Amino acid sequence: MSGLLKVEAPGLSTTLQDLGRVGFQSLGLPVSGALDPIALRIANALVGNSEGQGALEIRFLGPTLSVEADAVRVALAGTQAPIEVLEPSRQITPAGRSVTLHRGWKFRIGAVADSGVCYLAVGGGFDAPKVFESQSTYVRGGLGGFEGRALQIGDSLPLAFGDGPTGLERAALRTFDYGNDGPIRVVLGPQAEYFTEAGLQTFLKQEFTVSREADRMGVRLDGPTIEHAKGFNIPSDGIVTGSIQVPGSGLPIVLLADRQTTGGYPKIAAVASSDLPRLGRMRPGATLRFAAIDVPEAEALRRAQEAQLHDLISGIRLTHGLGENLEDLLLSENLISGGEWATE
Amino acid sequence: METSVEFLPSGDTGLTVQFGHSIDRALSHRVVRLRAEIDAAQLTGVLETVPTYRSLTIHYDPRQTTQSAIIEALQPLIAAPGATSAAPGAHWRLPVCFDGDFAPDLLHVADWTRRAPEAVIEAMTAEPLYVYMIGFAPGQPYMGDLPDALAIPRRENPVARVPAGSVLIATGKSVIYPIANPTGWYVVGRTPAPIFDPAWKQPALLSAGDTVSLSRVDADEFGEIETQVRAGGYTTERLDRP
Repeated sequence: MSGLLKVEAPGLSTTLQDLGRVGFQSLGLPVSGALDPIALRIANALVGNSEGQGALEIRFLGPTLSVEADAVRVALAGTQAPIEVLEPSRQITPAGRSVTLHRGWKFRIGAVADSGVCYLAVGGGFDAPKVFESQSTYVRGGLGGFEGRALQIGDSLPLAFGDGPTGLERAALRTFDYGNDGPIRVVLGPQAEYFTEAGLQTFLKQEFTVSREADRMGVRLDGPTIEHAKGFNIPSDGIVTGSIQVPGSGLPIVLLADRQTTGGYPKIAAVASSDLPRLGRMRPGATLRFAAIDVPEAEALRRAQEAQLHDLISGIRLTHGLGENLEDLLLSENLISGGEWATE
Repeated sequence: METSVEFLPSGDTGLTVQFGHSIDRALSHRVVRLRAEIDAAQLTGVLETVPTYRSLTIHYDPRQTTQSAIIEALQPLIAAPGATSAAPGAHWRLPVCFDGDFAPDLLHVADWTRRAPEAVIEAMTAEPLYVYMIGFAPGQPYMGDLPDALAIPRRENPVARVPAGSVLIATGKSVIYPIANPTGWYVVGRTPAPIFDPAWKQPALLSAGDTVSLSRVDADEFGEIETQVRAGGYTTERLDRP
């Protein structure tokens, strides 16, 4: 028998996401999926799931959930915020390690200050139907996830596992280094010729700020306007996650997971895929600059990042859980060095 | 046969093969044909292909392949395209109401074209429209070609939301919105007929290569069709297979 998690408070915007809906863009279906797929994969690895299993994507303020199952193993990744058990008694589990919760326990992820997004994975995953081969939620289309929408108070989230969690807990030795110092790398084009030389220089030399108009579809940036050379209409063509459109206003929009599949505004550049998680994690008010690189360099950066993630995941170690092992306790308090704890 | 193409990078996860800068059906057929060839070739690391008016975007995984490897694999396919021709598309009749609140931008478009609203409606309904591509949202068709006089450019800045079923125009083309979304186009009507449903065997009603006749209905008939749709008893009329 499996069970469910009950939503006592939904958080600001909590949706079920996996690695996206691949193969359906020609039907006009967005890929959706995690804004920070790296943190999703780490969270899943910490509970023993396959890396692409659906997990709860939490934005800014997390949900409060109660356990209606014998036992469930959970882990949080992508933030330094902890998992707080509220009932039957207070217990804190830092992010980056798993914990087993029992029937009747109530727990929450509170305010997440260090990232725009983080992931709560459950051992065995959630029992939500796949729509076009993915559990990812596309809210605008009302597709996927739990009823095609963000969590609401009173929702029941069915769990997919048969038996409860067995074996030891897991902990990551370090947090992932997103490379936050430095500009966001981009590849110019495919419509770079739609911008004047001055416009390109503005784009590559000036600082931009993440506006309040930032959601899963894209991030609108505030800052200096980028000068068009020949209008802002193109015959609609293909878009990738990370494409940077510049409409008539001259202010760039970086398109993210829920982006449309095609579009008619000129695209000055696309974010290198290695830097996409950084964009997904940015909060309104964050500042950024862009730097141009070429395609082979972008591809190499992505492969290097994948190697870093592979190292982190294969370094995840089994542990008896907090409090049962002095070394773990000291490690969690950052009082001894078991690895690098990278700061954001 | 003209075979020159441009290879344009979309970051390190997309390669756009661009056949030209104009929109015409011959270009559209070349895009559709290349897509069929690439899908058949099953290149390592290629995740999916998206055809648009005058280009094909190839989505790939840079951990599995590189853009330059894909370009190399494409050269023989582009140099000697196969003889496959597209199967004829379906011809649909879609009911559209062009009145009142269903057409908030009709007057603005009429003003811009310096014609009466009736003339705009006539231009939209006189001839069947050709479906060039599906994009932007699930099942959303890009149709053409409207007369040059109707080729109003896109808005400078998109508006945040227009309702599902909206029929919009810009740049001589028309789209139908399957779901509410932002837009840079102008809303001149609304259809009560659904054009996308994940429960359908073919979830998108329309495909590239189909034709669509927009058929004018008044608000009452719009309401009747809407009721039928909600009750599950509405089927969009297909004109090529009566």
